[in-house]
Amino acid sequence: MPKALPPDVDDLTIPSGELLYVRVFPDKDSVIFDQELKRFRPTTSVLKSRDEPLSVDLSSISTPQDTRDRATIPKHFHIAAFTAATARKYGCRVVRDPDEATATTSANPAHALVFGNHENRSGGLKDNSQSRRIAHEAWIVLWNQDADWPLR
Amino acid sequence: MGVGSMNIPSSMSGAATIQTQLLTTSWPGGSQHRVRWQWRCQVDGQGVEVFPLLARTWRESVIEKLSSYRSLPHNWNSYGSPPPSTLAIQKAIGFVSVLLDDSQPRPRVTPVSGGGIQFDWSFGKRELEIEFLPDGTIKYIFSPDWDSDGIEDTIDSVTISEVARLFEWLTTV
Repeated sequence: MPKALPPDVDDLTIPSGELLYVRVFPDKDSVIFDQELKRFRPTTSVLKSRDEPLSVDLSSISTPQDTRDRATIPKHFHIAAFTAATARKYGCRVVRDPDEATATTSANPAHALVFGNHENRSGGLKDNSQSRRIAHEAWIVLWNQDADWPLR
Repeated sequence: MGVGSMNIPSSMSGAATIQTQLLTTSWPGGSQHRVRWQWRCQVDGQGVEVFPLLARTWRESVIEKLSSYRSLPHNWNSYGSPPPSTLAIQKAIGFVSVLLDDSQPRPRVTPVSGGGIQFDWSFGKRELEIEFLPDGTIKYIFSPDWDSDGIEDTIDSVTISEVARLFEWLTTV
């Protein structure tokens, strides 16, 4: 049975500077070199989450390596990060949602959700004004060296 | 997908015929399939296989990539997403096959959480996204730069003139 969502209320105990980590599917097209900021960032599709809030890990409790290794499938994902301030700037709320251990997964006390304002009221993010904007302010903090190198 | 062929002059005696053939191969240990292009070269009727013989176009590699999405498992992104829907894959392959050509810039192509497929392009600060949603509808966003909300719309189909209009907007300074 899926876990119930926590209340959609921004948790201000999560500071603005907290990094929020997301796993990035290791495809060369999932990462782009931002010519303006001179750094790699995820493409906008990575942060699209229409049907549910976006799952992230809090950097005060998790390292990028921890987040990568929590993947339950044997892929070596890249890890992208953005700040809680960035999410809030685009109208999102950041909510703690720690996961308890299950028969197949270990506990994840760092788990949190980013709630957006998708029109379907799922708590998902709006493509244009939330996912896309946040993706442009995110960056890659941990590379999977075995993945295809992105086009520059 | 079929077999194509073309004749080219050969430095050897006679002419060479090059055939392209789309093959299906198995993943190691699995029943899932992916496709790859194989190039066969025939000189004076003597068959010789050569890998790879010619550089592929980006459309071929993108179609191959889209076909490979049929093999993406549930939870491919580690956040529980279904793979791209069959309808989204079919529409995306049709889009590449019919509406794009190799003279246009190569898109970045990525699966999207929930079962869609996204194509996106950047040109300077301008950006264009076209997403094939799981139900087969198409959503596009074009924006003059990342720091502003783009213009978005959802449509049932896309035409050559519409693609031309979007690319003209994307590449005109």
